[in-house]
Amino acid sequence: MADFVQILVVGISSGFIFGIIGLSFTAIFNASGIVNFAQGEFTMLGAVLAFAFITTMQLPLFVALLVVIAIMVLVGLSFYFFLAQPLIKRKAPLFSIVIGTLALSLIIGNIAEVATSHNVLRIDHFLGFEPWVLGEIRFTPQNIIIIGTGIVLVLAFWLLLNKTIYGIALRATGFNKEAASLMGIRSSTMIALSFAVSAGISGIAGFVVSPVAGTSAAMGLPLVIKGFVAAVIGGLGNPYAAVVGGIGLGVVSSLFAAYVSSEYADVAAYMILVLVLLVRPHGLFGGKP
Amino acid sequence: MNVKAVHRPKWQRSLALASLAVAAVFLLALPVLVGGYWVYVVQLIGINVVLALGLNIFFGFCGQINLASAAFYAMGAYSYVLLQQKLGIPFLLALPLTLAFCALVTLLLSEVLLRLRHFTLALGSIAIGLTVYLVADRWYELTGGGDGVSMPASSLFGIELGDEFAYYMILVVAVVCYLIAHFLAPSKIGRAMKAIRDDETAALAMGINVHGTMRLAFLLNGMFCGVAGILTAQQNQWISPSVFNVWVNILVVVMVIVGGLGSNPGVVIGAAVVTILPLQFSGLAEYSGLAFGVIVFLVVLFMPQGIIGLREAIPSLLSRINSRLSLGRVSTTPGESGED
Repeated sequence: MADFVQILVVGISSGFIFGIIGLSFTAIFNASGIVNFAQGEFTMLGAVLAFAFITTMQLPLFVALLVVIAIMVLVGLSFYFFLAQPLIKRKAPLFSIVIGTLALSLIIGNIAEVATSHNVLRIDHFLGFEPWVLGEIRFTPQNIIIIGTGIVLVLAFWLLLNKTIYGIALRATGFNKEAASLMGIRSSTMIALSFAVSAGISGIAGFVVSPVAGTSAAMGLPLVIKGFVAAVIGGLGNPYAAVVGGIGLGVVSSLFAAYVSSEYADVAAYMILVLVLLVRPHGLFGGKP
Repeated sequence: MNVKAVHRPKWQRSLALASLAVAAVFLLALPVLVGGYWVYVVQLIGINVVLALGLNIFFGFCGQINLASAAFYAMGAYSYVLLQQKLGIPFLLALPLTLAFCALVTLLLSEVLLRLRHFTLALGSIAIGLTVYLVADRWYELTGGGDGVSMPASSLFGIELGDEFAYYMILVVAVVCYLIAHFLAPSKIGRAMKAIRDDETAALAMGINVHGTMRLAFLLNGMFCGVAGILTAQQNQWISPSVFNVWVNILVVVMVIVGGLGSNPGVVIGAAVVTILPLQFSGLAEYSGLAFGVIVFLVVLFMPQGIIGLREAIPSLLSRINSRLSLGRVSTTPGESGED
């Protein structure tokens, strides 16, 4: 029983990461229709920067976190202004923009790979490695931090979207660009905002997962795929469903890894996608898109 | 076909035919002329051409991004090799069996993947690609895992078929695949695919069987990739999961986009360019992701039609310069306008 709960906690914590990536991926998708292949690279950057600031430069945690958030927001904005905006202005078809995000994810991944010289980066657990014991159950503190951060991020995202004027404008742009611009909402600003928020959230997820995820430059691609799987399982277009989908995905694959086969845990994760698509093509919580 | 012939001057057509004939003779004689390295390069190009033509049918004609090329590529190669190695089936029989297997798997996967569209389809297919890669890498008893698996030498009537056989096989298969794609494009089905690409709802309203047509495009894509897998196995006599990693999916997409999405000759050029460039700049191997990223980004930004788009872009640029110049002349003598 204790084992089961521990595996469950690991699953939920990795599931939150997938879910957060799915959520930030949905944020850009809803605002602009762009599927951002570089979402996983944002998370990877967050994790690699965590190594740079925590391990190499020995900054205090919160300072490091703030710097990472600032850098990631800048990355998101420049992603928009250097990639998406020129293409949108040229009235390029959406698929060119998506291929462009794929190209940029290759560029970011390659630069990070050279910068880290293909190493797996070691980052100390934020609150030490000593497990927290509750009865017979032992929790790894880092997993609890990840779950806590995940909950905070989802709440913050919800507050931003529903309780601030920018969030409401952002949703309006996603709902109907023309009508929103008639209400005086500049759609380019809103899409830029969605990129900034999305990169920031993904970066934070990368930051907190860095001690346990085997941080390396190559971690981006598997993460973007898992994040996407989470978003599709939940129902594409609904950011909160993506989080639920992510948690489901994390729990199932960690249970599979523990009780069936750790080698095929990823295969199990992808097969969940296939199963969900067969039974509910629009995702667990999705209506018709 | 006929429309093109009307537009293109006769001399251009015969020039194209002549250069094609020269190229054919050159390629046929290549193993005798130079051998070694360049034979290997042409083999690689041929295999990549087949992969890219396949993706072009689904991506270029039908407008759907498939990032599972490597999955079908691997399935073709592994089933071809394993049928021979584990079951001792001669290669002539293994060929049709492999094709049948690829067709079956592609049809099964299409049931799932074609519920998605566009970019979600792209990401869904990448999951399939990774699954096949993981199985090839982990199922040690069947595939030999990372060590790979070698193929028994092919022989026909007691004669052992070597590297030259693989060369001509690749050449013939690449040409056949090109012809299939070439005649598909202007056919009724090809036009139906393009109608789906341009507007799925409108295509449906015109009475096009959208699901069936897309499934056919996906099937052709999977079969072409499977055939490319057979060719790779025949060429290397040995396969391992690293040949079919995620990178391959991206490379095939790069070939199609750099060459010219939707254009068969463009895709051939794209496959050749993408194959040769890394071989020439092998010193920059560490930066290959960066280089490809920059190339794709620049192509998407400045050459949305790909390399083949230059065919129209250069004449139109020349005529624009021309008209600029002649306009300058015209403006000095008002009243004399519209000389052509």
